[in-house]
Amino acid sequence: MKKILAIAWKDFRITYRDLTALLVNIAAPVAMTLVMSFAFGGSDTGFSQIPVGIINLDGGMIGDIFINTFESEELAAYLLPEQYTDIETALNALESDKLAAVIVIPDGMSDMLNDPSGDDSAPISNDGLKIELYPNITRPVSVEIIESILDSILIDLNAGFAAGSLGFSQLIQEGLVTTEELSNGLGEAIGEKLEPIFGDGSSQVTLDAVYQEADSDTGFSWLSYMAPSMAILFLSFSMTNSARSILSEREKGTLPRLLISPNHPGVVLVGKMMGTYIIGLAQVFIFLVISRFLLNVHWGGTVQVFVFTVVMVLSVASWGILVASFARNSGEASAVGTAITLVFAALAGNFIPRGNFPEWLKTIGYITPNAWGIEGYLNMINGATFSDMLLPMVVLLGMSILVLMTAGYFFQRQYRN
Amino acid sequence: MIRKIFSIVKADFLLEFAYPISWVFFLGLPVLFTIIIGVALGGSQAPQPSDVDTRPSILVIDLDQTVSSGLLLESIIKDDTVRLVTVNSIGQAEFEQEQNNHPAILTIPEGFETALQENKTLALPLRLGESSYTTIAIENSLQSALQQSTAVWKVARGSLVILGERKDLTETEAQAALETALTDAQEILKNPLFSVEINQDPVSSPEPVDIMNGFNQSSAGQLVTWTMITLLGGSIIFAMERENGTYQRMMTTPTSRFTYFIGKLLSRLLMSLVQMVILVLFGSFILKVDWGDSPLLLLVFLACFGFAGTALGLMLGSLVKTAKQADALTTILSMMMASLGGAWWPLEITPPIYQSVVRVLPTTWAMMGFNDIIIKGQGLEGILLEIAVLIGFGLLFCAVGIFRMRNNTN
Repeated sequence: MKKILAIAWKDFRITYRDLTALLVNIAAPVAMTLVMSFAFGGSDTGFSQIPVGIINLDGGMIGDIFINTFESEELAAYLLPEQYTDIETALNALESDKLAAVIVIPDGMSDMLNDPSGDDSAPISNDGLKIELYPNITRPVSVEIIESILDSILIDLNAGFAAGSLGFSQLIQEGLVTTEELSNGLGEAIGEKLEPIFGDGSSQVTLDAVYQEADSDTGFSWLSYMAPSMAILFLSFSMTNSARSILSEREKGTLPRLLISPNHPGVVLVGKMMGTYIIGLAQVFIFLVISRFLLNVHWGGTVQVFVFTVVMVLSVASWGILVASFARNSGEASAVGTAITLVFAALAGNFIPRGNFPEWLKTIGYITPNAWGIEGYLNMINGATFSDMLLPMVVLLGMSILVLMTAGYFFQRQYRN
Repeated sequence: MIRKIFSIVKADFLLEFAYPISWVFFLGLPVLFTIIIGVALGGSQAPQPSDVDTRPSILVIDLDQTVSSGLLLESIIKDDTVRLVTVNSIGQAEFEQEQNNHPAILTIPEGFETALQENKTLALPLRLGESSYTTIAIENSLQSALQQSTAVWKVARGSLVILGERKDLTETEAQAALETALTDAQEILKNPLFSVEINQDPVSSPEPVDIMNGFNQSSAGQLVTWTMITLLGGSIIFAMERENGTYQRMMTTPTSRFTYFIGKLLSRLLMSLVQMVILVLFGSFILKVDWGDSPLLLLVFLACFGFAGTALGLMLGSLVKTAKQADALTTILSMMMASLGGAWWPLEITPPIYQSVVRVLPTTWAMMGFNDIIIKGQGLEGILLEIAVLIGFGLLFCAVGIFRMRNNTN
């Protein structure tokens, strides 16, 4: 055991004295997580303020409704509205990708609502009551959000004017008011009574939307997703690199020298594997601590995070060791290991949240330790207890044993002679 | 000189493809990633046979079974974003959910119409899958449908308020007036007064582009990602040749430094061009991504991106100490630069300051150019700035790389 630890410790020291390894193992995942959290602002959907240009040529009540809504506090987190005075400047900004969309409220829109005859109950043609939207087609998601906000305003506006039109025509039909009375301010006074129904635009009947993760305290956030995701991705890279050192030693002649020493060949190989594992453990634990204090990621209960990490690192390391067991040289180990790392990362959702995957792709992802790792850490971030984590831990442990046994078989074949 | 350059190019090609695994990185993984990321980003928008309904399905349990709940269902159908699967009981819903994993379940509770009638508060339970582009789109669509269908009640109640200002209504009269108003409101709202007119971007493609197709993003994005790996792979060759003395020995031969660098840069550039052209053809013919009408212009842009990446490989090769370091950094740096530059997810969902900061990366400019070609269908004029910036990046990286290589070996 002492010999195994001595070999492992030697590999560990060599790795963490190498600046490149430190960059790849520690700095890169922290930097990537930091950049991701900056990029997505810690918001639930990943969206941040969408720049939208508004040209209010109307200057009346309708124009004010749109401006007030787009500049409201409720939408301030999603929109970055900017008013323009001329369409050319706004479209130039759109063309140069500074805006996601330009909204034009046409001139005289409010005036058109007031019939020149003074009959507020008369039907109004909707020709010319069109809000113009110029979308930036390179920002389809932002445009969809802006469109849905516009739709929401229009539904309420249409309902408000429909109510007025219907109510006033009833009053006139029943001879309760005259058109003159309505145009002399009575219409406006009565219209104000509609304020409780249409005033804040909100409805008494709403949707109570609950997303799958929303039963937790924190819900989904890019930071909570990307932190474990980057930790596992960079762990996979370093495990591949570390395991291939077995082959590098063979190429340099140090491994054959070790194998002819009084040490049992198994001791040497287990020592090398142990070194890989300790390097991975150190990498993930350092990342957990840094991300906890620097990025404020709450990983969950200490005991379950510790045990889960021990099992998860073993599982990822076992794949690196498997590659080293059958590769003919360190170059091949590096190429195959990197390929496996990337395929696993793509299937598991290390780059794009798994929630966006169709079911079949999510299921395929479970053949990788990455998917179990990401979901395990996410569950712990969302408050999973030790017993909740038993299944992923058992799966990861089972995977490790199976992969290590296969690696053992290949090692035996390689080093038998 | 041409013959020497050709020899260097040939040697580099032979070295690069000496092992079959190289093809995995060159074509296998890029194709796999393009498909996976495209499916993840595009979801239901991924290309499908025309007779297949690709809209996400939602399960609706209508426990109210009234005119109002019917109106809500009609509005959802009219919105056309989702495919409706209606069931009559919770038990049936659970069975259906078990069979087909629907991304959303909406319950219209008993008393929905009464709540609208009496202007009472009511929340309709909507269970959604994990937060994703699809589930967010479903929530938005249902929100809009609910607002649309309940607007009828707002109109009817509003008109009643107006009538009540001048007429004292008995309860029976009020009820009768409300029912009439509801019918009238439905008619009026069929032709809404205000609407939105969408004007296409004046310089956009005359042909409609499926802007929500995830493959538009993944085809260009993964091309940038994997070509960067090939291009930065040049750093390993530069570092290796410096490390094992090949570069120094070359400098003692009649081959000039200029010939050496041109040969090296050209081999990497040609390699990346072959890779990019294959990936463009794959995107174009298999994934039906519209890569624009001008193959020549596209080739020019690919070459500019290739030049910037090749030069970056040279610079990286001159900065690292060993080929092993270059090897460890190539994939990670490529992945990082590509993802930060908008190759993995659209930059539009990031804050404006982030979008400005990442313009220091050549990958950002490459993605901007590809988006202009694919989505906007722009010509040379539209991507001139991107071309100029990429060439600028290339020249800068080349200068630093050659300077460092000379210094390192002197």
